[in-house]
Amino acid sequence: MGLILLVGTLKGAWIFRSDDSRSGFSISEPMLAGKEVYSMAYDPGNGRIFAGTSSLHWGAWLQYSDDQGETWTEPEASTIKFPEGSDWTLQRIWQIEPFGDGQTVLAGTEPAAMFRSTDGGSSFELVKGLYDHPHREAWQPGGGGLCLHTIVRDPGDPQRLYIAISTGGVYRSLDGGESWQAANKGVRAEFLPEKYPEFGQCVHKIGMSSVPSTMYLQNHWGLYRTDDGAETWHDIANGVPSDFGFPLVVHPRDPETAYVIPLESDRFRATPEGKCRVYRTRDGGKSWQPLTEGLPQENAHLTVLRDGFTGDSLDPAGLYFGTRNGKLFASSDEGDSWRQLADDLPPIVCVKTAVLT
Amino acid sequence: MRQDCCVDLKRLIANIKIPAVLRDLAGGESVLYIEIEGPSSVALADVFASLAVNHPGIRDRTLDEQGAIRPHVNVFVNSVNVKDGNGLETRIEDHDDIQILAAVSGG
Repeated sequence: MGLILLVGTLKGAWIFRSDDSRSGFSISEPMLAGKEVYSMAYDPGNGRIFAGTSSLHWGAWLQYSDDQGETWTEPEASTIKFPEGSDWTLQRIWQIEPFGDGQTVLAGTEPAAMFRSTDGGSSFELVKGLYDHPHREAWQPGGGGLCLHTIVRDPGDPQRLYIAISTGGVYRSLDGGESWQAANKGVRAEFLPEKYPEFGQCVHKIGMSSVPSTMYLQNHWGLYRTDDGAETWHDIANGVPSDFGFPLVVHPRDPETAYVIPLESDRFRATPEGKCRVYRTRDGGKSWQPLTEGLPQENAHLTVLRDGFTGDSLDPAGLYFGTRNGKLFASSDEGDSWRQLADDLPPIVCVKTAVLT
Repeated sequence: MRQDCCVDLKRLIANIKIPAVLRDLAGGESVLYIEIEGPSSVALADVFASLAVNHPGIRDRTLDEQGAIRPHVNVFVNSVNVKDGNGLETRIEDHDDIQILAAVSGG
Protein backbone atom coordinates (compact mmCIF):
# COMPACT_ATOMS: atom_id res chain seq x y z
CA MET A 1 0.00 0.00 0.00
CA GLY A 2 1.03 3.59 -0.41
CA LEU A 3 0.90 6.50 -2.73
CA ILE A 4 3.29 7.74 -5.36
CA LEU A 5 3.32 11.20 -6.80
CA LEU A 6 4.82 11.52 -10.27
CA VAL A 7 6.20 14.98 -10.92
CA GLY A 8 7.36 15.96 -14.40
CA THR A 9 9.34 19.14 -14.95
CA LEU A 10 11.18 20.90 -17.74
CA LYS A 11 14.43 19.33 -16.53
CA GLY A 12 13.55 15.84 -15.39
CA ALA A 13 11.15 13.94 -13.13
CA TRP A 14 10.83 13.11 -9.48
CA ILE A 15 8.77 10.55 -7.58
CA PHE A 16 7.41 11.34 -4.13
CA ARG A 17 6.36 8.41 -1.95
CA SER A 18 4.09 8.14 1.06
CA ASP A 19 2.03 5.65 2.96
CA ASP A 20 -1.74 5.91 2.91
CA SER A 21 -1.74 8.42 5.75
CA ARG A 22 0.06 10.92 3.49
CA SER A 23 1.57 12.45 6.60
CA GLY A 24 5.04 12.52 5.09
CA PHE A 25 6.56 12.17 1.66
CA SER A 26 10.03 11.12 0.59
CA ILE A 27 11.54 12.51 -2.58
CA SER A 28 13.57 10.57 -5.11
CA GLU A 29 16.76 11.60 -6.79
CA PRO A 30 16.20 13.33 -10.16
CA MET A 31 15.20 10.96 -12.95
CA LEU A 32 15.40 11.46 -16.69
CA ALA A 33 17.60 14.42 -15.79
CA GLY A 34 17.79 17.18 -18.36
CA LYS A 35 14.74 16.10 -20.31
CA GLU A 36 11.37 17.78 -20.50
CA VAL A 37 8.80 15.46 -18.93
CA TYR A 38 5.41 16.75 -20.05
CA SER A 39 3.45 13.61 -19.16
CA MET A 40 3.62 10.74 -16.72
CA ALA A 41 1.27 7.89 -15.83
CA TYR A 42 1.11 4.71 -13.80
CA ASP A 43 -0.46 1.55 -15.20
CA PRO A 44 -1.95 -0.46 -12.33
CA GLY A 45 -2.25 -3.45 -14.64
CA ASN A 46 1.47 -4.11 -14.64
CA GLY A 47 3.03 -1.49 -12.38
CA ARG A 48 4.69 0.29 -15.28
CA ILE A 49 5.39 4.01 -14.98
CA PHE A 50 5.41 5.97 -18.22
CA ALA A 51 7.07 9.28 -18.97
CA GLY A 52 6.67 11.35 -22.11
CA THR A 53 10.10 12.89 -22.50
CA SER A 54 11.58 15.25 -25.02
CA SER A 55 14.85 17.00 -25.63
CA LEU A 56 15.58 19.86 -27.94
CA HIS A 57 18.14 17.71 -29.65
CA TRP A 58 17.01 14.13 -29.92
CA GLY A 59 13.22 14.28 -30.17
CA ALA A 60 10.29 13.02 -28.11
CA TRP A 61 10.15 9.54 -26.61
CA LEU A 62 7.83 7.45 -24.51
CA GLN A 63 10.00 5.99 -21.78
CA TYR A 64 8.96 3.60 -19.06
CA SER A 65 10.12 2.09 -15.81
CA ASP A 66 9.15 -1.31 -14.48
CA ASP A 67 10.95 -0.85 -11.16
CA GLN A 68 9.28 2.24 -9.71
CA GLY A 69 11.68 4.62 -11.36
CA GLU A 70 14.97 2.93 -10.45
CA THR A 71 15.76 2.44 -14.13
CA TRP A 72 14.14 3.75 -17.28
CA THR A 73 13.87 2.21 -20.72
CA GLU A 74 14.05 4.37 -23.80
CA PRO A 75 13.14 2.39 -26.91
CA GLU A 76 15.87 2.25 -29.51
CA ALA A 77 13.63 3.25 -32.40
CA SER A 78 10.68 5.62 -32.31
CA THR A 79 7.45 4.02 -31.12
CA ILE A 80 5.24 7.08 -31.55
CA LYS A 81 5.62 8.69 -34.95
CA PHE A 82 3.55 10.16 -37.72
CA PRO A 83 3.35 8.21 -40.97
CA GLU A 84 5.90 8.79 -43.68
CA GLY A 85 4.80 11.65 -45.88
CA SER A 86 2.78 13.35 -43.15
CA ASP A 87 3.14 17.09 -42.77
CA TRP A 88 3.53 16.51 -39.03
CA THR A 89 6.43 15.33 -36.91
CA LEU A 90 6.20 14.41 -33.25
CA GLN A 91 7.16 17.28 -30.93
CA ARG A 92 5.97 16.19 -27.49
CA ILE A 93 3.87 13.60 -25.70
CA TRP A 94 1.36 15.56 -23.61
CA GLN A 95 -0.79 12.80 -22.18
CA ILE A 96 -0.52 9.12 -21.37
CA GLU A 97 -3.68 7.23 -20.48
CA PRO A 98 -3.28 3.56 -19.53
CA PHE A 99 -6.51 1.61 -19.35
CA GLY A 100 -5.21 -0.30 -16.35
CA ASP A 101 -5.15 -3.69 -18.02
CA GLY A 102 -1.42 -3.62 -18.63
CA GLN A 103 -2.02 -3.57 -22.37
CA THR A 104 -4.05 -0.67 -23.72
CA VAL A 105 -2.43 2.74 -23.54
CA LEU A 106 -3.46 5.94 -25.30
CA ALA A 107 -1.06 8.80 -25.90
CA GLY A 108 -1.93 12.40 -26.80
CA THR A 109 0.70 14.34 -28.68
CA GLU A 110 1.84 17.62 -30.14
CA PRO A 111 0.89 18.10 -32.95
CA ALA A 112 -2.58 17.07 -31.86
CA ALA A 113 -3.04 13.37 -32.47
CA MET A 114 -3.78 10.21 -30.57
CA PHE A 115 -1.79 6.98 -30.64
CA ARG A 116 -2.92 3.63 -29.28
CA SER A 117 -0.91 0.75 -27.89
CA THR A 118 -2.32 -2.70 -27.24
CA ASP A 119 0.93 -4.22 -25.98
CA GLY A 120 1.52 -2.24 -22.84
CA GLY A 121 3.22 0.68 -24.56
CA SER A 122 5.87 -1.17 -26.52
CA SER A 123 4.40 -0.13 -29.87
CA PHE A 124 1.78 2.38 -30.98
CA GLU A 125 -0.49 2.99 -33.93
CA LEU A 126 -1.86 6.33 -35.01
CA VAL A 127 -5.60 6.66 -34.33
CA LYS A 128 -6.61 7.38 -37.89
CA GLY A 129 -10.18 8.36 -37.09
CA LEU A 130 -8.90 11.50 -35.41
CA TYR A 131 -5.92 12.13 -37.69
CA ASP A 132 -8.20 12.06 -40.74
CA HIS A 133 -10.83 14.29 -39.15
CA PRO A 134 -11.83 17.11 -41.52
CA HIS A 135 -11.37 19.66 -38.73
CA ARG A 136 -7.68 18.85 -38.34
CA GLU A 137 -6.50 21.33 -40.95
CA ALA A 138 -8.30 24.14 -39.11
CA TRP A 139 -6.91 23.50 -35.63
CA GLN A 140 -4.53 26.22 -34.50
CA PRO A 141 -1.67 26.04 -32.01
CA GLY A 142 -2.13 27.77 -28.67
CA GLY A 143 0.69 29.12 -26.56
CA GLY A 144 1.87 25.62 -25.74
CA GLY A 145 1.67 24.37 -29.31
CA LEU A 146 -1.08 22.42 -31.07
CA CYS A 147 -1.48 19.70 -28.51
CA LEU A 148 -3.87 16.93 -27.57
CA HIS A 149 -3.36 17.39 -23.86
CA THR A 150 -6.26 15.58 -22.24
CA ILE A 151 -7.73 12.10 -22.64
CA VAL A 152 -10.70 11.10 -20.51
CA ARG A 153 -12.34 7.72 -20.73
CA ASP A 154 -15.58 6.47 -19.28
CA PRO A 155 -14.63 3.64 -16.90
CA GLY A 156 -17.97 1.96 -17.52
CA ASP A 157 -17.85 2.19 -21.30
CA PRO A 158 -14.47 1.73 -22.96
CA GLN A 159 -15.92 2.86 -26.28
CA ARG A 160 -16.64 6.33 -24.92
CA LEU A 161 -13.64 8.65 -25.04
CA TYR A 162 -13.21 12.39 -24.68
CA ILE A 163 -10.22 14.48 -25.65
CA ALA A 164 -9.31 18.14 -25.44
CA ILE A 165 -7.13 19.97 -27.94
CA SER A 166 -5.67 23.44 -27.73
CA THR A 167 -6.95 24.89 -29.89
CA GLY A 168 -9.58 22.62 -31.27
CA GLY A 169 -11.78 22.05 -28.25
CA VAL A 170 -13.47 18.92 -26.96
CA TYR A 171 -14.04 15.89 -29.18
CA ARG A 172 -15.98 12.80 -28.23
CA SER A 173 -15.88 9.30 -29.60
CA LEU A 174 -18.57 6.73 -28.92
CA ASP A 175 -16.85 3.93 -30.81
CA GLY A 176 -13.48 3.63 -29.15
CA GLY A 177 -11.79 6.22 -31.35
CA GLU A 178 -12.97 5.17 -34.78
CA SER A 179 -14.88 8.41 -35.24
CA TRP A 180 -14.93 11.72 -33.41
CA GLN A 181 -17.45 14.53 -33.04
CA ALA A 182 -16.80 18.05 -31.78
CA ALA A 183 -18.49 18.52 -28.39
CA ASN A 184 -18.21 22.22 -27.57
CA LYS A 185 -21.81 23.40 -27.53
CA GLY A 186 -22.05 26.26 -25.06
CA VAL A 187 -18.29 26.78 -24.71
CA ARG A 188 -17.20 30.31 -25.62
CA ALA A 189 -14.20 31.12 -27.83
CA GLU A 190 -13.28 34.60 -26.65
CA PHE A 191 -10.53 34.96 -29.23
CA LEU A 192 -12.63 34.19 -32.33
CA PRO A 193 -15.10 36.43 -34.14
CA GLU A 194 -17.76 33.75 -33.80
CA LYS A 195 -18.04 33.21 -30.06
CA TYR A 196 -19.72 29.79 -30.10
CA PRO A 197 -18.20 27.87 -33.02
CA GLU A 198 -18.58 24.15 -33.51
CA PHE A 199 -14.87 23.75 -32.73
CA GLY A 200 -11.76 25.87 -32.26
CA GLN A 201 -12.15 26.58 -28.55
CA CYS A 202 -9.04 26.58 -26.40
CA VAL A 203 -10.14 24.07 -23.79
CA HIS A 204 -7.44 23.80 -21.13
CA LYS A 205 -8.68 20.76 -19.21
CA ILE A 206 -11.71 18.52 -18.80
CA GLY A 207 -12.38 16.16 -15.93
CA MET A 208 -14.95 13.42 -15.45
CA SER A 209 -16.83 12.97 -12.20
CA SER A 210 -17.86 9.71 -10.59
CA VAL A 211 -21.06 10.07 -12.62
CA PRO A 212 -19.55 9.81 -16.12
CA SER A 213 -22.13 12.03 -17.81
CA THR A 214 -21.15 14.87 -15.47
CA MET A 215 -17.91 16.56 -16.41
CA TYR A 216 -16.20 19.85 -15.74
CA LEU A 217 -14.23 22.06 -18.14
CA GLN A 218 -11.67 24.82 -17.61
CA ASN A 219 -11.55 26.94 -20.71
CA HIS A 220 -9.29 29.74 -21.90
CA TRP A 221 -11.75 32.05 -20.15
CA GLY A 222 -14.70 30.13 -18.82
CA LEU A 223 -15.65 27.40 -16.40
CA TYR A 224 -18.24 24.88 -17.54
CA ARG A 225 -20.12 21.77 -16.59
CA THR A 226 -22.02 19.17 -18.56
CA ASP A 227 -24.53 16.65 -17.28
CA ASP A 228 -25.25 14.97 -20.57
CA GLY A 229 -21.89 13.61 -21.61
CA ALA A 230 -20.70 16.77 -23.37
CA GLU A 231 -23.81 17.28 -25.49
CA THR A 232 -24.05 20.74 -23.95
CA TRP A 233 -21.96 22.74 -21.51
CA HIS A 234 -23.14 25.52 -19.21
CA ASP A 235 -21.23 28.23 -17.40
CA ILE A 236 -20.50 27.72 -13.71
CA ALA A 237 -18.04 30.54 -13.03
CA ASN A 238 -20.04 31.75 -10.04
CA GLY A 239 -17.81 33.40 -7.49
CA VAL A 240 -14.29 32.79 -8.76
CA PRO A 241 -11.93 35.80 -8.99
CA SER A 242 -11.23 34.89 -12.62
CA ASP A 243 -12.57 32.23 -14.91
CA PHE A 244 -9.20 31.99 -16.63
CA GLY A 245 -6.96 29.13 -15.61
CA PHE A 246 -5.48 25.86 -16.75
CA PRO A 247 -6.16 22.83 -14.54
CA LEU A 248 -9.12 21.37 -12.77
CA VAL A 249 -9.66 18.34 -10.59
CA VAL A 250 -12.93 16.53 -9.94
CA HIS A 251 -13.54 14.73 -6.66
CA PRO A 252 -13.17 10.94 -7.03
CA ARG A 253 -16.55 10.14 -5.43
CA ASP A 254 -18.65 13.31 -5.20
CA PRO A 255 -19.80 14.60 -8.61
CA GLU A 256 -20.72 17.97 -7.11
CA THR A 257 -17.19 18.70 -5.88
CA ALA A 258 -14.48 20.09 -8.13
CA TYR A 259 -11.40 22.26 -7.79
CA VAL A 260 -9.77 24.95 -9.95
CA ILE A 261 -6.81 27.31 -9.57
CA PRO A 262 -7.80 30.61 -11.19
CA LEU A 263 -5.20 32.86 -12.81
CA GLU A 264 -5.62 36.59 -13.19
CA SER A 265 -5.95 36.73 -16.98
CA ASP A 266 -4.46 35.45 -20.19
CA ARG A 267 -2.21 38.52 -20.21
CA PHE A 268 -1.00 37.95 -16.62
CA ARG A 269 -1.06 34.24 -15.99
CA ALA A 270 -0.50 34.33 -12.25
CA THR A 271 -2.62 33.76 -9.18
CA PRO A 272 -4.85 36.86 -8.66
CA GLU A 273 -3.93 39.51 -6.10
CA GLY A 274 -0.68 37.76 -5.25
CA LYS A 275 -2.60 35.06 -3.37
CA CYS A 276 -2.30 31.36 -4.08
CA ARG A 277 -5.84 30.04 -3.80
CA VAL A 278 -7.47 26.81 -4.83
CA TYR A 279 -11.21 27.21 -5.36
CA ARG A 280 -13.59 24.42 -4.48
CA THR A 281 -17.22 23.93 -5.28
CA ARG A 282 -19.33 21.54 -3.23
CA ASP A 283 -22.53 22.25 -5.14
CA GLY A 284 -21.61 21.49 -8.71
CA GLY A 285 -20.47 25.00 -9.58
CA LYS A 286 -23.29 27.06 -8.06
CA SER A 287 -20.69 28.58 -5.76
CA TRP A 288 -16.92 28.41 -5.20
CA GLN A 289 -14.95 28.92 -2.01
CA PRO A 290 -11.24 29.80 -1.73
CA LEU A 291 -8.97 27.33 0.04
CA THR A 292 -5.96 29.10 1.49
CA GLU A 293 -4.75 27.39 4.68
CA GLY A 294 -1.08 26.60 4.19
CA LEU A 295 -0.83 28.35 0.82
CA PRO A 296 1.15 31.60 0.37
CA GLN A 297 -1.12 34.64 0.52
CA GLU A 298 1.35 37.46 -0.03
CA ASN A 299 3.35 38.21 -3.16
CA ALA A 300 2.49 34.78 -4.52
CA HIS A 301 2.34 35.19 -8.30
CA LEU A 302 2.21 31.54 -9.22
CA THR A 303 1.22 29.68 -12.36
CA VAL A 304 -0.16 26.16 -12.39
CA LEU A 305 -0.35 24.55 -15.81
CA ARG A 306 -3.04 22.21 -17.10
CA ASP A 307 -1.46 18.98 -15.92
CA GLY A 308 0.10 20.49 -12.82
CA PHE A 309 -2.88 19.71 -10.56
CA THR A 310 -4.25 16.30 -9.68
CA GLY A 311 -5.98 14.27 -7.01
CA ASP A 312 -5.76 10.83 -5.52
CA SER A 313 -8.53 8.29 -4.94
CA LEU A 314 -8.08 7.91 -1.18
CA ASP A 315 -10.62 8.94 1.44
CA PRO A 316 -10.46 11.78 2.29
CA ALA A 317 -9.30 12.77 -1.17
CA GLY A 318 -5.79 14.13 -1.57
CA LEU A 319 -4.89 17.00 -3.87
CA TYR A 320 -1.52 18.00 -5.30
CA PHE A 321 -0.29 20.82 -7.50
CA GLY A 322 3.02 22.03 -8.82
CA THR A 323 3.92 25.48 -10.08
CA ARG A 324 6.00 26.89 -12.86
CA ASN A 325 8.50 28.08 -10.27
CA GLY A 326 9.03 24.61 -8.87
CA LYS A 327 6.86 24.57 -5.77
CA LEU A 328 4.84 21.47 -4.96
CA PHE A 329 1.85 21.61 -2.59
CA ALA A 330 -0.28 18.81 -1.12
CA SER A 331 -3.51 18.45 0.77
CA SER A 332 -4.69 15.24 2.40
CA ASP A 333 -8.04 16.64 3.60
CA GLU A 334 -9.85 17.51 0.38
CA GLY A 335 -8.24 20.93 0.17
CA ASP A 336 -9.04 22.23 3.66
CA SER A 337 -5.33 22.59 4.44
CA TRP A 338 -2.14 22.44 2.43
CA ARG A 339 1.55 21.91 2.97
CA GLN A 340 4.54 22.40 0.74
CA LEU A 341 6.38 19.26 -0.34
CA ALA A 342 9.08 20.92 -2.45
CA ASP A 343 10.25 24.45 -3.05
CA ASP A 344 13.01 24.39 -5.61
CA LEU A 345 12.21 21.94 -8.36
CA PRO A 346 12.51 23.00 -12.01
CA PRO A 347 9.31 24.32 -13.63
CA ILE A 348 6.60 21.72 -12.98
CA VAL A 349 4.45 20.75 -15.95
CA CYS A 350 2.85 17.52 -14.78
CA VAL A 351 1.71 15.99 -11.49
CA LYS A 352 0.05 12.56 -11.37
CA THR A 353 -0.74 10.15 -8.56
CA ALA A 354 -1.13 6.44 -8.16
CA VAL A 355 -2.38 4.46 -5.20
CA LEU A 356 -0.34 1.29 -4.89
CA THR A 357 -2.08 -1.89 -3.78
CA MET B 1 32.70 -5.02 -58.00
CA ARG B 2 29.63 -5.73 -60.09
CA GLN B 3 28.28 -4.00 -63.14
CA ASP B 4 24.80 -2.45 -62.99
CA CYS B 5 23.96 -1.23 -66.45
CA CYS B 6 26.67 1.29 -67.31
CA VAL B 7 27.60 2.51 -63.83
CA ASP B 8 30.49 1.02 -61.93
CA LEU B 9 29.33 0.17 -58.44
CA LYS B 10 31.84 -0.11 -55.66
CA ARG B 11 31.89 -0.31 -51.94
CA LEU B 12 32.53 2.87 -50.10
CA ILE B 13 32.87 3.35 -46.41
CA ALA B 14 31.46 6.30 -44.47
CA ASN B 15 32.98 7.04 -41.07
CA ILE B 16 30.21 8.23 -38.75
CA LYS B 17 31.38 9.80 -35.50
CA ILE B 18 28.84 9.25 -32.76
CA PRO B 19 28.34 11.77 -29.94
CA ALA B 20 28.90 10.37 -26.46
CA VAL B 21 25.22 10.65 -25.52
CA LEU B 22 24.24 8.26 -28.33
CA ARG B 23 27.04 5.72 -28.00
CA ASP B 24 24.91 3.23 -26.08
CA LEU B 25 22.93 2.92 -29.30
CA ALA B 26 26.14 2.17 -31.20
CA GLY B 27 27.34 -0.64 -28.98
CA GLY B 28 29.61 1.80 -27.20
CA GLU B 29 31.51 2.70 -30.37
CA SER B 30 32.60 6.27 -31.00
CA VAL B 31 32.84 5.67 -34.75
CA LEU B 32 30.70 3.46 -36.95
CA TYR B 33 32.00 2.41 -40.35
CA ILE B 34 29.06 2.08 -42.70
CA GLU B 35 29.69 0.20 -45.90
CA ILE B 36 27.54 1.16 -48.88
CA GLU B 37 27.46 -0.11 -52.40
CA GLY B 38 27.05 2.58 -55.02
CA PRO B 39 28.75 4.73 -57.60
CA SER B 40 31.72 6.86 -56.60
CA SER B 41 29.57 8.81 -54.18
CA VAL B 42 26.19 8.46 -52.49
CA ALA B 43 23.80 10.90 -50.85
CA LEU B 44 24.05 11.44 -47.11
CA ALA B 45 20.42 10.24 -46.92
CA ASP B 46 21.57 6.87 -48.26
CA VAL B 47 24.20 6.66 -45.54
CA PHE B 48 21.52 7.20 -42.89
CA ALA B 49 19.35 4.56 -44.52
CA SER B 50 22.22 2.09 -44.30
CA LEU B 51 23.02 3.17 -40.75
CA ALA B 52 19.40 2.48 -39.74
CA VAL B 53 19.64 -1.19 -40.70
CA ASN B 54 21.65 -1.99 -37.59
CA HIS B 55 21.38 1.23 -35.63
CA PRO B 56 17.85 2.63 -36.00
CA GLY B 57 18.16 4.50 -32.73
CA ILE B 58 20.89 6.77 -34.03
CA ARG B 59 18.98 7.51 -37.20
CA ASP B 60 15.77 8.24 -35.26
CA ARG B 61 17.51 10.66 -32.92
CA THR B 62 19.34 12.47 -35.72
CA LEU B 63 16.45 12.62 -38.19
CA ASP B 64 12.75 13.06 -37.51
CA GLU B 65 10.16 10.60 -38.82
CA GLN B 66 9.87 12.54 -42.08
CA GLY B 67 13.59 12.15 -42.69
CA ALA B 68 14.73 15.70 -41.91
CA ILE B 69 17.71 16.49 -39.71
CA ARG B 70 16.31 17.56 -36.33
CA PRO B 71 16.41 21.33 -35.79
CA HIS B 72 18.87 21.21 -32.90
CA VAL B 73 21.17 18.55 -34.35
CA ASN B 74 23.98 19.31 -36.78
CA VAL B 75 25.63 16.89 -39.17
CA PHE B 76 29.07 17.77 -40.45
CA VAL B 77 30.73 16.15 -43.44
CA ASN B 78 34.47 16.68 -43.35
CA SER B 79 33.85 19.55 -40.92
CA VAL B 80 31.26 21.31 -43.11
CA ASN B 81 27.73 21.63 -41.68
CA VAL B 82 25.43 20.08 -44.27
CA LYS B 83 22.65 22.48 -43.23
CA ASP B 84 24.76 25.20 -44.86
CA GLY B 85 24.91 23.24 -48.09
CA ASN B 86 22.98 20.42 -49.66
CA GLY B 87 21.61 18.84 -46.51
CA LEU B 88 20.85 15.17 -46.87
CA GLU B 89 21.66 15.38 -50.58
CA THR B 90 25.32 16.07 -49.73
CA ARG B 91 27.47 13.62 -51.65
CA ILE B 92 29.52 11.23 -49.56
CA GLU B 93 32.68 9.70 -50.93
CA ASP B 94 34.78 6.85 -49.67
CA HIS B 95 36.07 7.46 -46.13
CA ASP B 96 34.41 10.80 -45.71
CA ASP B 97 33.99 11.73 -42.07
CA ILE B 98 30.40 12.31 -40.93
CA GLN B 99 29.99 13.80 -37.49
CA ILE B 100 26.69 14.06 -35.59
CA LEU B 101 26.65 16.79 -32.95
CA ALA B 102 24.07 18.38 -30.67
CA ALA B 103 23.70 22.07 -31.45
CA VAL B 104 24.22 24.62 -28.72
CA SER B 105 20.74 25.31 -27.38
CA GLY B 106 18.58 25.16 -24.31
CA GLY B 107 18.21 27.16 -21.13
